[in-house]
Amino acid sequence: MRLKYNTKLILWAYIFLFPSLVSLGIVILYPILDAFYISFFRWNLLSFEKSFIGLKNYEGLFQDSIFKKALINTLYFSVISVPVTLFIALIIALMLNSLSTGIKNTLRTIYFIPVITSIVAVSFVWRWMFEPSYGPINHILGFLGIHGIGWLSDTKWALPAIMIVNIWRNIGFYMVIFLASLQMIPKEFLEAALIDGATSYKRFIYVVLPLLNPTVVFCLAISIIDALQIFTQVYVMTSGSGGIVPGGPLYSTTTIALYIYKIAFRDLEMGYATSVAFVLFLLIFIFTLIQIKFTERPFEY
Amino acid sequence: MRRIFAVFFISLSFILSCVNVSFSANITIVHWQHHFEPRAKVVESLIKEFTQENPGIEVKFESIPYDTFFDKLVTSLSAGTGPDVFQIPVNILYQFVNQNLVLPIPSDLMPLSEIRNTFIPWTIRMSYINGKYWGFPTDVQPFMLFVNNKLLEDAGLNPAKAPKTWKELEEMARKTTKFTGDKMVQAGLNVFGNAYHYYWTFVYQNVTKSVVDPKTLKVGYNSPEGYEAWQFLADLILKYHVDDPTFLTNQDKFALGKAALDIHEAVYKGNLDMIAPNIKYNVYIPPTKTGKPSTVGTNWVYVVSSKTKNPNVAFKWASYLTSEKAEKEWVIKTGSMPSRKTLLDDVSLQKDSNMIAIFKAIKFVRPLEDLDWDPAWEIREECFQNIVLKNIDVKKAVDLSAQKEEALYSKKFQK
Repeated sequence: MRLKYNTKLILWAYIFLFPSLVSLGIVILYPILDAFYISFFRWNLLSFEKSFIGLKNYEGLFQDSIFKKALINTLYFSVISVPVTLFIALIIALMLNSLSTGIKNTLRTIYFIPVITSIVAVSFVWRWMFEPSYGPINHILGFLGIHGIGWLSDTKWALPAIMIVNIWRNIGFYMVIFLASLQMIPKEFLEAALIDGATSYKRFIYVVLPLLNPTVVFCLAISIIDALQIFTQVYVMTSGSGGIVPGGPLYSTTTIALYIYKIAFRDLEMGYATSVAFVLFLLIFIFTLIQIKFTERPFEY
Repeated sequence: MRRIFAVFFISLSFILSCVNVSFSANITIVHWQHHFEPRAKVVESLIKEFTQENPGIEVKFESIPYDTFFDKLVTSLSAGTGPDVFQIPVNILYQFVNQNLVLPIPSDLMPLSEIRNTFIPWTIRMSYINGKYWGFPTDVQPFMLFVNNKLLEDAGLNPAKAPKTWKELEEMARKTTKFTGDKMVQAGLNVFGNAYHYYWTFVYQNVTKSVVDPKTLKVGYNSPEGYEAWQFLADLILKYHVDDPTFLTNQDKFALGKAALDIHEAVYKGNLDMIAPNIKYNVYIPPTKTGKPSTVGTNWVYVVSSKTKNPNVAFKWASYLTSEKAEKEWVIKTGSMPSRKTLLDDVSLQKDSNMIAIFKAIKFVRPLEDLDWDPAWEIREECFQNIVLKNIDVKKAVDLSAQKEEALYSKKFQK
């Protein structure tokens, strides 16, 4: 039997894909399905026995005040930190795009340094910087007449402090993506708009921004996924030497990822932890669908 | 005849060499405990001594940071790949026993009567489960009051005079608290460093009935005596402002010389000598409401995994860690207290007034009765923060905490 050329190509593609599909299945798909299965059981991590309890873990979420707090914190964190990060990254990218190559490359490297620095080390340094009585941030704010912000010790300021760190860290990453995208925009379009008498503001709104749309959608998707899973910064910045509960004070910085960790490895309730993990999965899925629906606009000149 | 002898000796030497090989074959024991610099150093030196005394045995030691210790331990035990010997708080030992994760101390190694005669009763109280003892007590920690001598002298107080009552502690803390304008520059007490040192101490000192009753799974700190203990702590912060959450947040104020007084586990002495050698301090049993000496104490246990391939060697190592010789090293090098009764009267270990005070305090210890570790601590930490950060009424916050803690225990013991 002779196969058609296209069928052959597809077959070869699958043959080459087979090893990666197998490894993906083992390390990603199987754990996801297994975790979903576990979410219907009561399972103490120390025990080898699991008891089936149906949807009780999911029902429990509705009565769990810490889960609700973690959900609100995670949404608050994402809704504020994502747009601010992308906005600042875009502004910096636009500024760098207008500079000469040498300066542009130097500044791009400087802005990218936080991205490649260890997040744990960075979080420790920021924790020290946010220290209310002797930390440099309050010292600087003191010159501006702003006093008494408790940052990580204050239930109102602890989460904003972590947002600041997250924004600072991620700006460089999204700036590089925006910059690459800006450099791809054909100069002819901008020159044509200039000849037509468009101001720099109009050139940005009607030419640059529409052409950046695919990049914006991409950045928005990955930054929201990243924000909804925020863990390390919160854990490092809010935990102490055995005496401070991570995610505090009073759960003001507890995010869903941190709560999953706490339930799984401190309370040892693996079944309940996986049910929270699936809520996070759903949340990310819904957010990604919504933003693709509302932000993706095919644009051609 | 010569030939027969020659064959006999050759055979004998061959058999002996085989036997020798089997004895000298390496047995590896994996030992885990949470990291505390002075204790890690002692374990390393004990391993050297133990392996020299027991050739053919190797001990692989991992000192794991406290924050990730339980994560690593429970996941590895759950996967059946855990260590042979490890350390856990005695308060959660029953959970490991119920899940068949640890082995009981074999009676041929140490019979029940010997265990009872050897160790301080409160250190083995919770390790007696189903008619057997399951762990060797270690990391014995009476909670003590640490006093910065210089800061007390600067405030016109005598550091050699210990506060006996809560009232005296409050006055001492108020006199040593300093402000520049409305900004705190020196705390009287380092409460926010590790608040649990304070609420555990005051509650266990003051509540006469069970703080946690293992039979009814009810807590006893939502009682007039319990409210009084929490109220005293609340007043120290909210009424007398002897510490502030925004002053040196998450820093060890006492070690930095920025807090005059601190309640801590006795082992803090070893840490303090290492990280802040210039601070001169005195150690006393924490003051009580009435002046009658009492403090809270905790201890951990060395246990042997039920999955170990070498239970005899593992128990040999675990018992070596709590041998008289080893316990002396714990005391001298870390400030941890011994769990053996005989060492309590060993004056050679009580080289200064601080050690004398700690040794004396062991006799007045009321052991922690909690039936869980981090989850129970988190509930009381929430209670503390509700009171001092949100100004929630003490009784209301304590009642809420009691309700949550009882729910936690009933869940843990649910079949």
